[in-house]
Amino acid sequence: MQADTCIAWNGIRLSIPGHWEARVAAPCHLIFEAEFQPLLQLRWYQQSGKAPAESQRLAAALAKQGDMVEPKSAGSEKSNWAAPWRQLESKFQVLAFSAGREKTPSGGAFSCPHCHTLFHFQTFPDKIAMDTTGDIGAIGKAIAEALATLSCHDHDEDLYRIQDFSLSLPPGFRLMDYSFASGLTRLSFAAGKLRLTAARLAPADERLKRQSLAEILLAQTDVADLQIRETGEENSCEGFRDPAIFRRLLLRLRRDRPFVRARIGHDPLHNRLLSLILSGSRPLPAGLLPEIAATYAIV
Amino acid sequence: MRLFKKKEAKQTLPTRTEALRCIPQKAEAANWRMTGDGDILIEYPLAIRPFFLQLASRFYPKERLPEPTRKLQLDRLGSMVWQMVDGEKNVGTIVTEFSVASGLTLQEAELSVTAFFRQLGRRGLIFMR
Repeated sequence: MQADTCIAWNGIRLSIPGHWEARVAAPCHLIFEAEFQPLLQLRWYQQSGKAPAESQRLAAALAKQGDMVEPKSAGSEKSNWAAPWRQLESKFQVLAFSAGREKTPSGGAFSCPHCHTLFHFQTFPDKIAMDTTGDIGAIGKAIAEALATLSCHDHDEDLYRIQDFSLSLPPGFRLMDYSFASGLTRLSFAAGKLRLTAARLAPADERLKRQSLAEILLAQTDVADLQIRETGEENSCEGFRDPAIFRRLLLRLRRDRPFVRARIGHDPLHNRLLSLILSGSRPLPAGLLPEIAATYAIV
Repeated sequence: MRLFKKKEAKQTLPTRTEALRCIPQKAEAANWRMTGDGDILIEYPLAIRPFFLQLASRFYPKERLPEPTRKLQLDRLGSMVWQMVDGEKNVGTIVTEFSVASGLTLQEAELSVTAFFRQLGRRGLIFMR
């Protein structure tokens, strides 16, 4: 039996069994599956400035759905189908549960009383078979246990940990875009006028046969005048652009961010290339990229 | 309003789970061999439009009609997947085996393998059952 894996994505964290895979379906939508069979999907709605009303509206809409049952009345029959989800009530305000045709637990909606993040989860009913005693099977228990580990606030760092990589960001960075293409994973973040792109390329040995690290970094940044320098570490290199005032103006006129700092590293153990590109229209904080790079790794 | 409008046939696409259960099989028309550096070279007949076939039949006797072929050289990873296609393993099994062999994550492997099969399918080099 594999140990549990921590999954962190866009403000939430939870632990799932090691043999499960987490897929990103949307910025706030994860699908968990085992052996290519979907088991659980989790959506969440983060509170913005004017959100309590919006969040309440969504919660009411979810609770009104045909198969949703208020938590008090859920599982009052012989088979206490809502029992596994009851442990959520210790951390969250449960709005509604839903049950499948044969009174198997199939989902629910709950919100965090502290940060007002609204969650909606749905299980795939054929996987949550009830056993003869009326309890849910092993998969159902694993889902309930995974949901019990869910957390959405009071994190020390803004962590992104999914598939095989882990990246920790300083506060203020928001996820803008992502792509999980074959051989190239890319996440884009913004913090004010700063832009950060984290990429993971695989397989590294195939790519390094054709290009050097510096060439790959140049292609990734798409900055022709990037100055490459050694980092002092083996298997990595850095590039930067710090233009003079006239060039800065020219780049700004072209709506290009003048200041760029980028770094690429080769992880020979996992056969991956990890790159980070930080760009901005103002001089970049000196220690920011090394600070983020220290947390970016294959786990 | 068009009274005799041709009804569009409903196309039912398989779900992802169903697609991963499909078993790929190499087309008989695809001749393949391993090159000196371990890569796979596939040679397959080129589909010619009937108009050009008719045109060719005016210049060549029927038994000597040209049968043009195309060659496709696979890279190391493509060759690895091609060799895994044995008519018994389903797509899911190939993805899992490819993920282990290439060191890619399961999701990366799934994307690569399914895109590769789609390309081969378009060229008529494999079919799914």
